[in-house]
Amino acid sequence: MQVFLNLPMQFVQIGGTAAWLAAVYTAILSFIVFFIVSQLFKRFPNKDIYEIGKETAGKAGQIIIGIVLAGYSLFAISIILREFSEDLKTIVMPLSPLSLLATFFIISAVISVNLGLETLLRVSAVFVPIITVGYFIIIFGVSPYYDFTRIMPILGSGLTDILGQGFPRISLYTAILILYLLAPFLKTYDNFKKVGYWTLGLSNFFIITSVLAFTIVIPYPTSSETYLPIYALSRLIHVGRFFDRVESVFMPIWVLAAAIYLSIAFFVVCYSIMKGFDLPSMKPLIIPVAIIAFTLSFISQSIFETFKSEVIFRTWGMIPGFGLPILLLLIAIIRKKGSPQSKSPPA
Amino acid sequence: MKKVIILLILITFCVSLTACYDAREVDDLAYVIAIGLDKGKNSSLKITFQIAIPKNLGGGGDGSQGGGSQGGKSSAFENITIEAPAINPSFDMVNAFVGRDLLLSHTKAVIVSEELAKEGILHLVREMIRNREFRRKMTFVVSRTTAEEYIRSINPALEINPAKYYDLHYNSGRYTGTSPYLTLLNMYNRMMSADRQPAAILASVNKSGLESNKSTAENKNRNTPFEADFYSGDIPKKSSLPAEIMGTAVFDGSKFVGELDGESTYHYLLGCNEYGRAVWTFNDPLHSNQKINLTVIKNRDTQVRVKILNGIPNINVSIDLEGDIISIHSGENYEDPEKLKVLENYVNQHIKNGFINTFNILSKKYKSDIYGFGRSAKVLFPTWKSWENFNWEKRFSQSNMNVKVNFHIRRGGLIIKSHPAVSSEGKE
Repeated sequence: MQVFLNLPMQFVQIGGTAAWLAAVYTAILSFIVFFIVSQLFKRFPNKDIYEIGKETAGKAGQIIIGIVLAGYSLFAISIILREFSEDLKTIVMPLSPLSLLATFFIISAVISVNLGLETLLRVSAVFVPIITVGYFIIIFGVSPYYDFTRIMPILGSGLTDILGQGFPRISLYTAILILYLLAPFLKTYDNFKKVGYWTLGLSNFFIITSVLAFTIVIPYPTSSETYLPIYALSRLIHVGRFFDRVESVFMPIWVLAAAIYLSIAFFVVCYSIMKGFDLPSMKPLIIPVAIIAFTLSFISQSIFETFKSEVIFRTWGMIPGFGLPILLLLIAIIRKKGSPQSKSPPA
Repeated sequence: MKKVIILLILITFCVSLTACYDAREVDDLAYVIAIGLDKGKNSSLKITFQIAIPKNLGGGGDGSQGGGSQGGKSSAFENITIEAPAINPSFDMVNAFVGRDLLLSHTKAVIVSEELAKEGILHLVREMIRNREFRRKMTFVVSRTTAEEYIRSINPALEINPAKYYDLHYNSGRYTGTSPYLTLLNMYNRMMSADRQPAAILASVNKSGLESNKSTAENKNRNTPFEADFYSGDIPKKSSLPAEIMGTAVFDGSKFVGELDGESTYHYLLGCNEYGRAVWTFNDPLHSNQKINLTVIKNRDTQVRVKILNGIPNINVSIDLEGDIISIHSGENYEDPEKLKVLENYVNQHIKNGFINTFNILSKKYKSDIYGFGRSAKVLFPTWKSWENFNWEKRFSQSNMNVKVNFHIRRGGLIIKSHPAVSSEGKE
């Protein structure tokens, strides 16, 4: 989903013509960081992050983890909700009130979270392949515009910028924190590891290909100012004089991707509050959380302010996403909690 | 009760999700086909809109054509010119007297006058890029006359649909080689690019007539002009189609700085690898007052290598072409492999000289790398900063050119040997 927003442009702002290199660097970092995080779940097989928090840092740890993850995801929802509503308003429905567009996303999130995690995952399983096909059509559809000289000079804005500014971009992968919640459902540590690496591998594939396609189609420095890069690419697709303006076909794909992303983030908020505070059900939380997320998304005065907030979210997101489990791992090691060699029972 | 609530929600969604807020009925819109931009007299801009009249686009039997109402025939489009402070506000001004909301999603071309382009047009191009309704793929054209005059002179005799006319007309460079094809997005990208400058189709209105002697032949020491020795608007002709395109408008940054004629456009397109095919005329190497016509076709992509020696770029270009004989006026048997070599060598040298001449015009006179040789040069730099510091735009004017042309004639049409005519005085 982040690929459909301004992610490729953000890599261009870091690496210039070497945006793809910045994406590859961040991808490598994401694997390293996940390897460290997975050591925590190796020590505590079949436990989610809240239970691990309780075991390593007591009840306070559990509550803090619940609050941090819920707060972070709520912040993410408010930004993504606003951003995608603004995008829709800019490119498809310029006259519709922003609140109307945001309402549809929030309603879809409320319904899906109300129906539960299984429904959410099944819906994702149905639509993600469709979204993927749409993505490939865009990437291959613009192939006549590929010009590989556009990734030259090879080091773009320089190694210092790429390595320095690229590091906080591992925040892009914080969506993987859904795995911290799902750990008990995955039964074994091996499954957790496998799902984690596959998720990161696929995410990295989409991130790197989207950044590369964007940089070889739109030359630098224009690429650093292009709003909605993948949409900009889709506007270039045409086959002869009869197959044109295909970007409208991709709108449902983007809306679906946004709805799924928001629903999952919404689930994380409600689930984190429920687990953090040991509540019996998260259903009573859904409507209040929806109203808070909706309200927060309208705090920014403009899309430019939202972009600023997004930079904060993309820069510091690694703290709740990766910093928190690494901190728990350190506490567990110091306090000798969990079993370093523990093997989970077969599924 | 639950089912009733769900049903009510679904009905609400069905109604609200049809995007009624943004509904724009097809029948309520005015489709702008082309936009012309000139310097205004009382306002910043003079803008000309060519708006389609859909009911006349159906290809009915009334023989309707474009170009405004002519001789009582219904026109396929209407031309409107207004003075406005900027492009976007002009839409509302037009809506003050046109009953339909202007729609720009189907605009095929934007035409800017040379006069306006000389002042720099980045702000206008950016205004169009920012507006989602403008197609970034629409053709960018520079007119030697005012854009208004050019648009009003468009009278597509062979097309009922003017949009198709623009598509076909502006794409003709791929088989004539005398005009480039650049879009609004190309212009925008290149205006801010550090490795390539913008160029555009050069258009004009022909008022010269058949007796016109405006050509660039004299500059090339030719007694008579060849087919591409013209700028747009100078082609000697008698026609009801006064609008024409030939040549290239050259930009330096966002400012128009000069023109290339049709033949120089061949060389420009060869240099930037956008040449397809064209029919060229050459002097006969063995009969100086006779002509030979060849179809010159790109055989392989043009290879460009740049080396930088003591801060001076040395550009090495390798052009690979093949040709088909179309006509040999002298009747010389160039189909003979020995004589064919003579012709090939001559053509080779001719193209090489022409290419260097065009390069010198662009690098020394206009100081504009519209070829995009900078794209090959920037490979030599590790970072963007070092590339920017090199200042390619400035160094390009000091660069040296080495060009290698590899030209071979492959075919001779349906004749494989030329015989002279036989008269009462023997063989001519």
